[in-house]
Amino acid sequence: MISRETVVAALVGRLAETLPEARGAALQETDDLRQFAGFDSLGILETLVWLESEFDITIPDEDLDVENFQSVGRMADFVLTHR
Amino acid sequence: MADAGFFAAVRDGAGRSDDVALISGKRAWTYRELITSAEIFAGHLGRHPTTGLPVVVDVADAAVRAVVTLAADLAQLTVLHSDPGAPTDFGGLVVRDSATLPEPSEPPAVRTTDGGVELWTHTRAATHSLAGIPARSQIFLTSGSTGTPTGVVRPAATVLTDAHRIAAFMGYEQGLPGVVSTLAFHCYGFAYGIAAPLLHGTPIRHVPSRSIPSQLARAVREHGARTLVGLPFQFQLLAGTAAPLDFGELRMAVSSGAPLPPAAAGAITGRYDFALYNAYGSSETGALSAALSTGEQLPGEVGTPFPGVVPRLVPVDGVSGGGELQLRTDALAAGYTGTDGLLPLDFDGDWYRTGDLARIEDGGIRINGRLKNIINVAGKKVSPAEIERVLARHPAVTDVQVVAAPDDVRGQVPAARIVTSSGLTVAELLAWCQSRLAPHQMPRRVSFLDEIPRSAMGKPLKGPEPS
Repeated sequence: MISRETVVAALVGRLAETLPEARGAALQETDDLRQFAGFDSLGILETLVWLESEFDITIPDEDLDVENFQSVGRMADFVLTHR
Repeated sequence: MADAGFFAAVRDGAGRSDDVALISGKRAWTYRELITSAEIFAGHLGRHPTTGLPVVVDVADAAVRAVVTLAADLAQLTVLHSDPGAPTDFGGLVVRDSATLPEPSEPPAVRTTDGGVELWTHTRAATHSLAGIPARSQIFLTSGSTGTPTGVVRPAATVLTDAHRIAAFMGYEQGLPGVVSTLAFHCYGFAYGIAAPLLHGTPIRHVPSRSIPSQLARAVREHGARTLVGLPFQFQLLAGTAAPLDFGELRMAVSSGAPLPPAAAGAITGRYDFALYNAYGSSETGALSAALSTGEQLPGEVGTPFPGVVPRLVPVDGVSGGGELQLRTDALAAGYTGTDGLLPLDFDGDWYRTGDLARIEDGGIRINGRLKNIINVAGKKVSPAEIERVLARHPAVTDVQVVAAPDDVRGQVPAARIVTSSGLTVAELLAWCQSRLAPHQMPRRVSFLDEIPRSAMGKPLKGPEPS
């Protein structure tokens, strides 16, 4: 069973790679990712594609409400409920 | 039959009454259900004062959009397709489904639940005159080059011509399923996902336009789809997935709405058996051509024109080789919406001016850039697309955009925005350009970005130039 801390740490690492503005900041899991210019709805979809292969999750069929993925914590919760 | 509208063409088309026509959300609609719902809603439209007003279709569900459009056609009314995510203030009889209802509900809305479809309507005062617009036209909003939405007026006959053209290209036929993940309120989304399949009996499953590759692959497998229409960003994500996905019996995928980068096309065709096409067209012209994308073609290649599309090139002062692409096509829009009525398209004699710069080589069209995007460097005209192509070929450049930057001496200079995969320097980039570009074409400002801002359609957004 993968821990929530592991998922959060992986996401923080990934976002630091894809969002250079996030590199210097100590990203907290509740931070609103919309503060970063590079983070838009396509960025969320890109992150979901990465999460799929990284954590072997299945993204369900329904329309993805990307508003639900605007913090590391919310993404981590999504991963844990879809494994 | 010149008078055949959309409703009659679908009712008399290839789909049989009990065949599945569209699958949207959790519901599969047969032709009988679509036609019956449209007839009932047409009766509702007939009881409302709609003189001089279009039916503004502000619904999220693709099948419900089909119902409302069929109903408006049957009631001899003009339709305006609205983006439910960015509602227009265009006047008309606004039709909403539950997904697009404002909170609290906007009075005086009328609720109709007949025919298994639940719709709310209210009247918004006219903002545009329908003078000169043929009854039963469909109006599609396009951002155009200025960013201000403009209504492109497509008479029923041109919608049908375009739909038949697309069906022939896609191989749409009765009973052969397809999946569409695009925006049904856009001209091409409506044509690929609603009009063309409904005329030819092709059952189409609509999936949300924000679907990611694994969702697309699952929909294709479950539906037994042979064709897939998606947006460029989806194919870019597909090109980058860690492992190949299972697309079942898919034989053809089409990327539409903006150019698909050759690198993404190459990655996909290297992994999958289906044929990948990059489609070219506009709201004004409908579908024009499509290029088989293997990653080996030259940037800007959009293929040979579809039958019925006649291209020509008109030389442009200051642009060497090729010229402005002008067209004749029987699917051409009637014009644009205006406050006082229909406004004309941009013509050169009886040729429609696309505003695209192109070459035609071996019958194939290759787009070089936009006429209006030309950068005027001290009187010398420079195509940003030409510079973008040179920069994009640098191995460390992953994305690029060239815009005009104001310059005190030259009027304008090319400014490059670069996304790089490694620590590329300005000096290295300019050295690369020096042997490949004329001096007036050299980028005079270079900025490194994490990504080029793009619209939901994948088109670059022209923000302020780098300083």
